[in-house]
Amino acid sequence: MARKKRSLKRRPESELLARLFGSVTNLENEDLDTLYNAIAPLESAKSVVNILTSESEARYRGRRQPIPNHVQSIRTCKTLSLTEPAEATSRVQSMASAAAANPFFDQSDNSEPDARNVAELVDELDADSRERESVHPAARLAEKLLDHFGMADKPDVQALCRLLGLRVREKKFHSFAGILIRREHAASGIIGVNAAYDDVYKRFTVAHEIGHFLIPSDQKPETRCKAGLIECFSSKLDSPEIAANEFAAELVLPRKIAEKHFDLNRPSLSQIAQVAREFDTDLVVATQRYLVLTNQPCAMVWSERGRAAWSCATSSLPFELALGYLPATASMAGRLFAGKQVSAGMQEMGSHLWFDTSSAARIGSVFEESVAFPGTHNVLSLVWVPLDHIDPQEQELPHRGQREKTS
Amino acid sequence: MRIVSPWDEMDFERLYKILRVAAEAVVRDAPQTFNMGCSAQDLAHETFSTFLDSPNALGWNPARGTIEKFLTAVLWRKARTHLRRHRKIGGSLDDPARPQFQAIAAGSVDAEVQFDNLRAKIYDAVGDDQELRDLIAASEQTSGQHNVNQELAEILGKPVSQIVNLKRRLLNNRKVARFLWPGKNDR
Repeated sequence: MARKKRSLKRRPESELLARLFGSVTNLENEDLDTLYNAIAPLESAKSVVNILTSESEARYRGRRQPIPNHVQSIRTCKTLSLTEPAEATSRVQSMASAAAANPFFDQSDNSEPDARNVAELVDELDADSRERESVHPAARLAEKLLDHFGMADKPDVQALCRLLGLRVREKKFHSFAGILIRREHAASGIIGVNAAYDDVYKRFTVAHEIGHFLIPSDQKPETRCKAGLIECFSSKLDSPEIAANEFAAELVLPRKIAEKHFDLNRPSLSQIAQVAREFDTDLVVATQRYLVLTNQPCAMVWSERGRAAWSCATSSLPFELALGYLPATASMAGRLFAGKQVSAGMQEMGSHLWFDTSSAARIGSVFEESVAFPGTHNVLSLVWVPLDHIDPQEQELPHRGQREKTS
Repeated sequence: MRIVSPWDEMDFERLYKILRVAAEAVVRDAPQTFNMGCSAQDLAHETFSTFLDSPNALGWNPARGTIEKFLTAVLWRKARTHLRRHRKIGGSLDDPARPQFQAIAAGSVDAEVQFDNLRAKIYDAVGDDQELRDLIAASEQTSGQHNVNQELAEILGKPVSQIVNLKRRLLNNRKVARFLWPGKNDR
């Protein structure tokens, strides 16, 4: 049957979408999900409805009006599992208890110092597990925040902003990637993110700015963050930036979730990249998460324009990287900078390519996997020294936590 | 006998998603933020909140149409108000950088040419994927009204479930998404 060609009634993009999907109000649920995911991939509709409903209920309560049926019915809606308390006041309580559970909470103003009690607490802290010690306090704050708001799956950063009284705005900034603006003593603020970046980077930037908003030692009215500071796990950064990055990394890819998805015994950038894609996270962030979790001796090295900029190693790696000389020309990273093709996956390399002479003499060989980022002059390398390549005596070195180095 | 309220069986998640998709379509010609920082997302939130904050649900009567259609109309009116204000405050009239988002006239030659250009770009974006190329070609013959999936299924000789998957595949293509939501997916 020949069909008549219709004249255009809308914009070309709208016309094509209408021809493929029909009218918005008549969409099938599957088609609606397809369009919604294309438009707002990082926004959970369920969370938004919950938050808007909570806010509306709070307004009714504030006006001392009964909550009407259509708002109440959202609480019983089958498709929305509401676990959070509704009132806006509970949001304030939530924030207060999150602050109380905050590892940065300053208790130095204790008016009744009790040396023995404090010593007992210090002993208890020292007795904490090794795993706990290696976690940055900012990451613990993020963990507690997620627990508090019951965000069990991939955390919805935008929803979290709304819960915390933060608005997110995209602007075409020229000199920085993100900014947090707030007024003194106000429990709200605005996060500005650079519209030029992709959604994944923007998600991390928003999480980074939430970190600045919540970390009590970092309460400036305006915090501007350049692109080089975000997603950088170098110890040379200012401590507020280190803390905000650790906070953001935990927020976008929580350890509790990440450990279920990583194969912690076989380091590989390919598998880390898969998890990164699944959780809308950049490879650098996912690799940092991997290093926090794994017991394998490995390190990541971030190189820019042919030089190693910073590295981050697991506590189980007893050797220092020769960062000032990296990456070696014969390493995969060096070959990528030279514009040569490299094989995919972990490749066995001579240990002298990554470690200083004395360390290299004590290691058989290492495995390396490097990836270049198209359109930039950056390379990320993951270097792994299998446990059986290390002298057992070296392995018994005391635990030193996750270490970071910067050239 | 239990009186069934129209709200009892309502899918509010679907309702919000429809508003979000509609908002993106309504302000397609506008800048990413308009009227002092309002975005498509804000527009959807504003409409949903207005509906919740109204004790009588903005006077919606189920006998006169679905809540989706009703709130989409509310959203459209809100968008019109925002965009009118934006035109007034969006900058100096002699500023060359002043945002222009006048839609091209419906049915004009320009519109036809732009539509053909868009289709050519999308063909290019899907490359050699013949199934997606067929889907785009089939969209030429759909009415764009009801049962689009059924129409596409008839034209392509495939089950509806496969059509749904094909469309998902098409929009998962980042290049295609960039062409369909130009401001949003430009990177």
